[in-house]
Amino acid sequence: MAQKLKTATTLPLFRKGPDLDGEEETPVGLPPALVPSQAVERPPAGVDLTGRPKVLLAIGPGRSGKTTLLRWAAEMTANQGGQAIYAAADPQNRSLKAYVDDVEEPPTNDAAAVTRWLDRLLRFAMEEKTSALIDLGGGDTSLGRLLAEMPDLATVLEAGGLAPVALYTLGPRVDDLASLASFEAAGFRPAATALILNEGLADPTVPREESFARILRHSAFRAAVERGATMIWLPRLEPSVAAEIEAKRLHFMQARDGQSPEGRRVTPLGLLDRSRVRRWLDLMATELGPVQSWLPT
Amino acid sequence: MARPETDEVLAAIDRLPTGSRTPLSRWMREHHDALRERLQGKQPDWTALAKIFASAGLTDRSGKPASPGTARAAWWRTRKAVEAARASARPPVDPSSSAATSVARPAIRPGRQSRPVTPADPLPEDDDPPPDKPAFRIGKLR
Repeated sequence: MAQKLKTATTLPLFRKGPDLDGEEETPVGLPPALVPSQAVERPPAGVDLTGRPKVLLAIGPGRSGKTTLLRWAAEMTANQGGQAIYAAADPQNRSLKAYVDDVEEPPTNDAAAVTRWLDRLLRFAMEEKTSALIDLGGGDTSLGRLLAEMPDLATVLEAGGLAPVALYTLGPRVDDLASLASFEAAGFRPAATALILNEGLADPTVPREESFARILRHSAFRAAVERGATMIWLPRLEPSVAAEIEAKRLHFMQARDGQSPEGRRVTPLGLLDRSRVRRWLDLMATELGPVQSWLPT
Repeated sequence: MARPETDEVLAAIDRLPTGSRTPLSRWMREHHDALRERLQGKQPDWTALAKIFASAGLTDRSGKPASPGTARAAWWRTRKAVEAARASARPPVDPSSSAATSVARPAIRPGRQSRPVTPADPLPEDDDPPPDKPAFRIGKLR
């Protein structure tokens, strides 16, 4: 009995495990549901326009994200207590008017009349030291015409106390660079220029850098970046969610918070879609963080 | 019911503010030439000017400091009023005088009137549309 007890006490209570020191970890995880974005070197923050009146010109082909961007900017501006003139150069495009009251627009879509209207609007903003957000519309020619008369428009606006901001919205098609290439060549090179790559227009099954490869390596794009333009990714919002928000004429924050617009009976977004909008708004804040000071105050 | 005397009515009217002019408009009218001389050939900074007017107590209709837009509008109306007053006070040109007939006159287009250019004529910047015409409004979220 005594012998048995002695044997039992000499047995190790726990056995030593295998020696894992130095062993390489095996990667695990579910396959990605979305294509992860490659790590890219972020450009430095855009020029600081804090406290200055500014004119934001949304430039790009139709359905490249100009109105979505301006809707978001309008909400951020209002949320921060800022104010601005909102203008749509294309009187046929009424999408901004569905979200903002008192959107200014030219009396006709005659090219010369739109150019005069844009000229007056810029002068008014300079004199009043008031910020303006202008949706130039897909087929707009007014800025090009104005630049033909005044290649130094950016300098003139600066001298008039108004910071010019060029926001180029781009899809993956190389032709989407047409306005950027032409306006930069014409001499319109505001210090505050953003090249906004709309992920929503890219194939979601391939990395965004691959979708936009032709854009990213184009000389017009690279020249703009080299002179100081800021590259920004416009995050993708699930198309069905974006469509529902648009159909309901909701602000993004209302959609996120499950709210209905005042005075209208609209079914709020479901919980899952609200979560998607919340994530999109968070991504927007991150991506557009470097140019936060470009929003009107 | 006793009717007020005519004199009382007139006296009450006399006590009303002078026309519809604001202190700023009155000042601009009184100092039109001096102000115009200083603004000639410049792109006026109406924000800075509005601050100067406000610090001098020159207010708008409601007695508040005039905004840059209000100041600009007041100056535009003052210029037009002074020009109109001076034009009506100018003696008519005698068409038979030698000065009027010795120079070749350009053909007058139908429907347009021409007259000699005088120092009191509007400056090029006076061709600006009235400041309250292109009143671009501040947008508001719905």
